Amino acid sequence: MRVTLPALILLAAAVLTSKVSGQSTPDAAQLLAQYDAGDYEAFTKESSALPDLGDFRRDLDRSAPRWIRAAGDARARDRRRVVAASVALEVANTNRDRWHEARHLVEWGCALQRTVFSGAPPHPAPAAAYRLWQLASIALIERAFDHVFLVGVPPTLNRDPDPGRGRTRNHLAHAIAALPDEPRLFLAFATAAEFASWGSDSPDPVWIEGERIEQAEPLAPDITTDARTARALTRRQTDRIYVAAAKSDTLWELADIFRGLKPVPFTYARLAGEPPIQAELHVRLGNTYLRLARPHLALPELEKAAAETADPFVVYLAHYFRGRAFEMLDRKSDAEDAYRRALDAMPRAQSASISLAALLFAGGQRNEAVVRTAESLRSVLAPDPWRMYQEGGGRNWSFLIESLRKALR
Amino acid sequence: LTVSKHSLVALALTCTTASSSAWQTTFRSGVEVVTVTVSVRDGNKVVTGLDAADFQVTDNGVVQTVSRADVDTVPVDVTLVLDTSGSTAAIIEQFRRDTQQIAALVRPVDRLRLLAIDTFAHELMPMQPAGGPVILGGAPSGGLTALYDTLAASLMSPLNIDRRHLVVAMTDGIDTYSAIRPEALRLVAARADAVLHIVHARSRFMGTPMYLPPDRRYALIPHNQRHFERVIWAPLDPSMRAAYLDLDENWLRLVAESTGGQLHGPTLVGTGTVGAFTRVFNEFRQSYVLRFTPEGVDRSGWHELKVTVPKSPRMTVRARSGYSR
Repeated sequence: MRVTLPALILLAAAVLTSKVSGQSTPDAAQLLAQYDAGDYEAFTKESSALPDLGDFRRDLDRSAPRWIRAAGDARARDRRRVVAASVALEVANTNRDRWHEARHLVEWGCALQRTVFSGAPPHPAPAAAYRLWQLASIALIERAFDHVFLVGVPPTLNRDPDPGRGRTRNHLAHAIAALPDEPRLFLAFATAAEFASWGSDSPDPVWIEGERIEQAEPLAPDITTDARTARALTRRQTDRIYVAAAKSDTLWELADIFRGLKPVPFTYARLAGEPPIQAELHVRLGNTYLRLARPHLALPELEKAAAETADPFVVYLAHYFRGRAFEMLDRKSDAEDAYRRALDAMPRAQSASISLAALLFAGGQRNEAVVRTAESLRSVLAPDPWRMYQEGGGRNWSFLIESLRKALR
Repeated sequence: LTVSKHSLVALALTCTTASSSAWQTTFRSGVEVVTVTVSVRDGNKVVTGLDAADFQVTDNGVVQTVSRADVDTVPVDVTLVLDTSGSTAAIIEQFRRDTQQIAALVRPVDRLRLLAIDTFAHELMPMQPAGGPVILGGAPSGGLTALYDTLAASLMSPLNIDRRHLVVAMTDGIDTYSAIRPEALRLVAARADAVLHIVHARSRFMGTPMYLPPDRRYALIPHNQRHFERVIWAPLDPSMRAAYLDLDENWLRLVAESTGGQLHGPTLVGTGTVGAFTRVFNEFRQSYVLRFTPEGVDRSGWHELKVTVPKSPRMTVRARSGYSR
């Protein structure tokens, strides 16, 4: 058979095109196989090229059950179920820049496992991997600042008589139902309540709804700028009872949540290197007191936190918040010492560096302030627990996903 | 010991508190000169042609002798602060274009530095001679807003006696994630040598209601994520949002004015911000650098300054509110 040169070129082009197109649109079966084989590098590269996460989720719906059933025995099927859920989770992480599509993959993975792992333990193997999957999923959601997806509108703020309507989701409830004795989930709940009280920059449906209302609603006359005015307004205008959720009441409720959290015994074996819980609770309660302008209540909590752990992240936060508390009490020398101790834990972190520099500059110690400031501007990549504070447990993502991968091998 | 003329001048002009801290350089001199950058306007017109004798400076209420009043001969260090955080996402590209235009306005004798406000305070370009390329490709975007931190960082710069320092910040004015409290920023500004101008570049409101109650006419909007005590129940109405924004504007106005600068705007990004910078920069170039040696006042502590032009009381004089030793 004679093959002409132009035909050869066309054939080569077709092969190349098909290969390129195959690389840019990986299918679910391919990603499941890669992940199962531990080829994480190729998996991550391929999953970042997925053009449509909705299509991928539908592909998973078709491929994953078949792939799980094809495993040899029940134990292998349980393992493959967690693998499939982990594929969904890691694809969601790789595509965090498309979070509003990506988060459906997290829920897909959770639903896939709920049939087997719901209810009280003991769960079938691999329960350790399942626990890690749930913790990693929550870390990912926290990392994406999607606290509404995690807990819906939290009870501390929810004055809505119909909380079930459209926008409320509650991924954490699924995790707590499956792992009722997992203290980290309760910490995640409290942290989500904390951040829901903080607001979110994500274009959540809540905000989209706000946009719509903005256009539709007429002028409203009342605006309140502090809790006292809000409460006064509430007394006068009972139809606006929700104003009673004004800041200070809400934060006291949040403090109650943190105070009420007691570590429960671990049903599941903890991994070496897992970050502390109790010390972090003290730090977050301490910060809540600071937001309530109660530095004298904050200080004992922060001192307990610093004493209970060697985790530099928590130690930094404890001393950094102590610095803030001392500044509120006008104890400048103590504040300076606290900021320096924070920087001992995490050198070059910008938040304590700038806080210390401002304190020194205002006190006339200009030279050190200038040097500290210049260093902090050059050190924005240095880990800074305050800048990561709003991620909550999101800082644990890398640790948890590595542990999950190991548990699945 | 060899001491250059320049060193002697530096020694004489540097106003530094002695300290045992290892970080500090100690300057000791029998003569300490204080410099104050002063802008003078008559209505909308910048007033030029004044000399040292035309000014009256009081230091903690004691009239001082102004030895020199330099104009335009002192080069300017410009720190441009851009808000690239999530709340300015809709206008960030225009901000970037504005920066290129503004960089082109700065004279070759001057220097330019760029800072960005995001979750962190970023230095995009260190202080360097103007006229070079301004590359903003690596600028962060989309994060939270450490506005107070970045403004404080812009003001806590080395004292350079041969130059004047102008800081122009373009921001939507909403702090969400600073490490320092606004009170700390005010203290820094009061003791800074730089003159801070803040251009309130208003875009469409980008705040996020954290919860919509059943009434749906209000949303609970954290005014400042750290300083939650100032949270407000805000009507979801564009005209009332101005009141919400004013809360931070008041802080920013106080901070700018304590350095001898101003809060400008709100203005729209684009022509508005470039125009505002041009006005600020031109006025600053034509401002006077007054020098005096404090007499009849305590050496240490906070020194409140008042600068006037006695022969023309109607003129508006702007200068830093004081200095500390």
